[in-house]
Amino acid sequence: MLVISRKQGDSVIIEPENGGEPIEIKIISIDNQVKIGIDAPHGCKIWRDELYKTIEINRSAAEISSAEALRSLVAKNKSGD
Amino acid sequence: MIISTRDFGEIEIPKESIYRFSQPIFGFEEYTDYVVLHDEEIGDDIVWLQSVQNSSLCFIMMDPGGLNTEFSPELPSGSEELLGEGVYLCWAIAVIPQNTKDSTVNLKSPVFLNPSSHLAAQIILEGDYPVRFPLMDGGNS
Repeated sequence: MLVISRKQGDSVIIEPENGGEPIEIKIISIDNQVKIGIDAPHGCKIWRDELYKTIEINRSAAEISSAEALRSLVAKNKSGD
Repeated sequence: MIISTRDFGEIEIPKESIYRFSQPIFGFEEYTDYVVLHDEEIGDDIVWLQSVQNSSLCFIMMDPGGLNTEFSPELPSGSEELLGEGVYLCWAIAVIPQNTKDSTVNLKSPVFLNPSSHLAAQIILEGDYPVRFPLMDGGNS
């Protein structure tokens, strides 16, 4: 992960490799929490990461988790006790 | 009523046992009604959250209290509006792949059930909890 220090009012600009429109992220205020502003091209979805990851995990949970795998996991845990 | 389930075939459930999600399982907003199913062989700390509206949709959930970690979540404000008054049950959605060593549970966004109102919600906690808490500490299988 790239880490950059910025002061209140400063921005960073992310330019996509494929020549897409740039995304600007501006530090609006810094108190207990950081308030950021995002200028992104129309159609670009912006998510809070915890929600994005939760959706991703929910989808794989529904798709991947099987009763068969669960039984094998439970059996392994029992034998490991 | 009789419902079709993914892992238990057709079963009969009392209508009153259905939980309605006032805040959905994120990513599955079109499905609001679920039942909680147990498998006696598996034990009490694991349940199935089976959609009533879509028989192929179900989640396997674990009791976070049984995991090898400190977990005492604080609900964000507004949760009582979603769930109604009462004592809530908390379950963590599990991802259990064929290679069970890679199994995880999501402790950041548990499912809360209120057995008295039969309201439910998936709630993203404010605390610093892992979305992928490993069920096995790797390497000891």
